[in-house]
Amino acid sequence: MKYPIAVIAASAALVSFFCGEASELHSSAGCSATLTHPECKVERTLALIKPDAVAANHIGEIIARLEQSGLRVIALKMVKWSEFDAQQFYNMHRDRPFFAHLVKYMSCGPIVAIVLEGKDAVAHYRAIMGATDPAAAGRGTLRALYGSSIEANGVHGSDSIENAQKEISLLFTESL
Amino acid sequence: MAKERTLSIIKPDAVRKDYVGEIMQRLGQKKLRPIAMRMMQLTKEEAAAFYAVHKQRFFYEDLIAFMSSGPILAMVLEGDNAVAVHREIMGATDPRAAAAGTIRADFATTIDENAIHGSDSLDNAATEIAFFFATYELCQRHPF
Repeated sequence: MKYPIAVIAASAALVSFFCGEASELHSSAGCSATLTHPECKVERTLALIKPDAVAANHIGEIIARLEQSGLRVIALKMVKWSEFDAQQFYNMHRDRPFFAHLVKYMSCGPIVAIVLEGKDAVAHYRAIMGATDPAAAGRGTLRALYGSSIEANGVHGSDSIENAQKEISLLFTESL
Repeated sequence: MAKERTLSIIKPDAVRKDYVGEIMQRLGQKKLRPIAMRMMQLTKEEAAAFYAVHKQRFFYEDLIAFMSSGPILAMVLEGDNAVAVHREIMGATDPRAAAAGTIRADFATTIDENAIHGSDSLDNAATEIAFFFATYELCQRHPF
């Protein structure tokens, strides 16, 4: 059965209205809606506070460091993943030896998902996070401060603008 | 001491000033653990519904305009005597009257934009938590 495009658009608007699906991204940057525009250097990236750091109650300290770094928190929620959720998120690592353990770990307790917005957000946040292995992470980085092992390393961050968009859309809705 | 849950809202003024992390650190120091968190922007209608109890008060219109003026962070906090402990660390409604070291004394300036909301009783906490979160959104936490 075919519907005219206007009917589909109207139904989507109604679904969004009745389900309360307003945008979960609360951008404060003027050009955020045109992130693909070549002159716009404002980026978004996804940060996760992992189960170990949530359990150790480092949430406030980590968010304070992000806010003080000049990145803006434009979306935030606590979620508890099922193993299936974690498999979807880490799908690109499906064939790696650490995959099963990573999935188990990321679904062992609540995490905090955060969208950060700012100039060169992807690279800027990766610098704040530090190296994947906390033992190799620079002094004062989040992983040096709050990570305990290469897996329980406190935080996750997107590694590219493309992956940031994918990861953000897995966790947050944005109205059109 | 009984383990309780209370609703905490970091209001639009404090979110705008990037005080979310610092306020959460104060809550964590009092052993209040978030078991649900969501940043959101209330519509005027949602803010009016949440504060319906104040409908006849002179500040009602200003309050709903302010509470819908920008993103907030709604949280469910769990801990021993969470309702009273949270109210104590928040400080008095008017930041000028709030005790030193409380969140309102340190992060708020006016009675209208006072940085944080907290449930005033266990009964209201249950009502306010249900306003913002479904039961499945409340996460089990390991003790730290």
